[in-house]
Amino acid sequence: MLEYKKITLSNGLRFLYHEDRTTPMVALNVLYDVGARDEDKERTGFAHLFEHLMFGGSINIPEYDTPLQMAGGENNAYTTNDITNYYIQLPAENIETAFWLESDRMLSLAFSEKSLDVQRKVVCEEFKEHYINKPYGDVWKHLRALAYQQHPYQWMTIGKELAHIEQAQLEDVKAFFKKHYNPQNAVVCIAGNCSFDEVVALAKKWFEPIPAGEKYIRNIAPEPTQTAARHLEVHADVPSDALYMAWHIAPRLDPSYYATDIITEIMGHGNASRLYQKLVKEQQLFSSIQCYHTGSVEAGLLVIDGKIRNDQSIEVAYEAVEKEIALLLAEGISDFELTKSKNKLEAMIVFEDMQLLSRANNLAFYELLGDAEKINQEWDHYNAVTKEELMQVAHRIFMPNNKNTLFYKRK
Amino acid sequence: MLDRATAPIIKDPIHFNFELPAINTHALSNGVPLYWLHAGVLDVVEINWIFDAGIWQEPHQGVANATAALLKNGTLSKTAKQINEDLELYGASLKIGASNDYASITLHCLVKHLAAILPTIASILFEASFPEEELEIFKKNALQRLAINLKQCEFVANQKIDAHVFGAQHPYGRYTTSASLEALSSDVLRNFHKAAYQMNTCKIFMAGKVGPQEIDLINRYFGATTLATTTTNVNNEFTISTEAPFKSFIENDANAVQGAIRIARTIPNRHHPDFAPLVVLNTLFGGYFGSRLMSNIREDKGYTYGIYSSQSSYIHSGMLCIQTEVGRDVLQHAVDEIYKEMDLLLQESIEEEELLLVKNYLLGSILGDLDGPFSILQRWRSLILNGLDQQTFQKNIHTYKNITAIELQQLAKKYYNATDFFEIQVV
Repeated sequence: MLEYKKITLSNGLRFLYHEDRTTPMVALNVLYDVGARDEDKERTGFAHLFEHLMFGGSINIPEYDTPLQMAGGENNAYTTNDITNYYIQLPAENIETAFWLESDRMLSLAFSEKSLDVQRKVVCEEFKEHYINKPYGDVWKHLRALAYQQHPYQWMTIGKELAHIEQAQLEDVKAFFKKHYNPQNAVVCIAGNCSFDEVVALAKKWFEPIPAGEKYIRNIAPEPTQTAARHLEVHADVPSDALYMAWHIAPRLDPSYYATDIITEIMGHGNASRLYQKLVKEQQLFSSIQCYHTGSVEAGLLVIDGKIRNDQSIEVAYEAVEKEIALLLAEGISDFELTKSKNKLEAMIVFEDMQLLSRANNLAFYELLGDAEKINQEWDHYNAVTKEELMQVAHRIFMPNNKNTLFYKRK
Repeated sequence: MLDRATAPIIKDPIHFNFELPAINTHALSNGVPLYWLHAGVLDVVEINWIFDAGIWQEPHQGVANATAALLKNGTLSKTAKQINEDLELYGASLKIGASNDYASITLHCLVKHLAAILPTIASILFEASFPEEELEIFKKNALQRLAINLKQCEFVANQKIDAHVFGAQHPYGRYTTSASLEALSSDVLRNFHKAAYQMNTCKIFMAGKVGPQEIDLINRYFGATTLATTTTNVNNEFTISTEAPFKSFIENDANAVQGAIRIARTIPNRHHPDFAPLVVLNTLFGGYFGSRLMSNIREDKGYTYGIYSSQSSYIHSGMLCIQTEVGRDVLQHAVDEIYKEMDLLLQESIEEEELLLVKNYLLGSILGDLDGPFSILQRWRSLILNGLDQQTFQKNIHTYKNITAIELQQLAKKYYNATDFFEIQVV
């Protein structure tokens, strides 16, 4: 049970507070309601490039990192298809430094050509390091484009191509900031060794004077229901064939989320899971295999991916996965499997709360989903899933028309 | 009007007090030491079993890693599948790995399930049977993983730099090859397990919401085995390569768009008086986001997504290594800048402002690291396994707070001469 308090400032900024007196630190998490899904399809990768520019100095503070490091703090940020999240951890004594830094870059950036020029290069190197110069690095480019024909989840957060990043102009940067970076489109969470009164005073001092800005109204059409199975074959310079299968699932807030999560546990999370036991250990068709979902806010994907053993064929391996899915749909799951999955999830939820930053991040994220209180209901939702409900959801997900298959073959 | 241009007043972390919460030592009935601490509010526990069963002790390349990897793949009383199910039924996570100096078994679980999980751990430690079929699956899959890794410039660069610095035969320098994987046999693993996973070299560490009840449980399952009076443990001696530093270039992938750079040398282990001062110098040079390497090569030139210098410490030695992946077209420019920065450390005294920044950052991050039972345990583990104690911790903090620019320049002259470094570029 996470205790927290919430206030909303007069400019619309939502502010969460979570007390932990056992730590000498505080964590400040600032979540902006913008991700790669909000990009123009001709200018992808922009939300993430923008995240880099947020460290290039703000209107009143020429350097972001130096004063924070001087105060003994650390920070980082990440961008997903849904959100952009910035976080700081620093000694509780220096809490105000975090408010000062984060509020100034919410107010306005410095917008320098030099910063844009350097960060374009840095992001291009990031693109090369993770998605080009790496075996299987472009798998998700193919898989997203296959599964999403309309929805902006069809591209990765890094962007569709290097050219989109190289072409970014300072005018685009300014427009993006104005549209997405303001109090109405953000959630702040502060957690750690600090008092509520202190936090309220600091929030009012540093964040309340920031103009509210315009609320960004997202208007993304959902991906049309898939009506026929899709199949794609890619040949690349890799040492082993790889199989990727993806099925559309419901959005994050759909009640079926919990059953979906448990299905992935049973099918392919851990060495006791079905796919690992049957296909890696018994039939020895795969050298590795896993099942998971993308966890996105809008309708995501349930994915099975595995590397094929070099002494086996991808076609046979694919048939074996199909057989396991058919078996699940025909025979259901055991009580043992359901108990095991729930115990794993219970432990996972508790261990996630170990880290102060993780608590701050999760509270902000659940508030963005609609209500921070949802975080305290998660375990009850998982625990309430029955075998019958799980099977209903499984039948819905694993419909033949809902399937996207990628054969990633070695040349 | 709010003054946003002036930074709020801070308390410099160099003025903070640092206390490493105490750890308790308890001897199990057979004498095996259990180091434990109660901390935190959540119903969680971490336990580590550490054995002298690392790469240093293995009879030949790959044995320590394979033994660790297969430890939970079958025992005299349980199959691999049963072991995995027993652990996952209680939501436990078990990680087993061999490092240069040790093998470690790390358990994370909810305290309420500990009693149900420990028998499985005991079975793994005492009765591992290394079935032939499990080894065959392991070999085939490890060979495929290796083939994928070898396509990546950073993996190849990491392998080679260790081999160059320590010598290709030294435990800290040698690396896994297809041949070393092919050569593994169940008998070799069984023998190594028997010789090296001996309770008389075992140290157990535990932290979380734990007390007498959990200590009793540990004692029940791990305190009963009689310890061998004469040690059969392996105790190998090795010397580090004395070859003069050299530079090398490998073309691993003709179509690569990036290359990996590694520039490294040996440094002393944690017992040496230069160790703590080197931590400060390394942090300044390439150990944090505001470091000289990052500021120049990423934030000014945009050559890379990231560049770091890191200080690895082992029981018998250590390594200072600068590492980055950069665009292929700027590979040599990046290398030149690294040496330029190294030389600056020798030539120019560090400004007071920058030194204070580094000290404050370093101490702030240590304060953050002392947060939570597992982080405190990790610090203690590192001290105890290196034969050090709380005084070392306090002494190091004192160094981080008080070291001067003059001392750091002297240290740079001793350790940051470009000619003492091995260099490798892999594209």
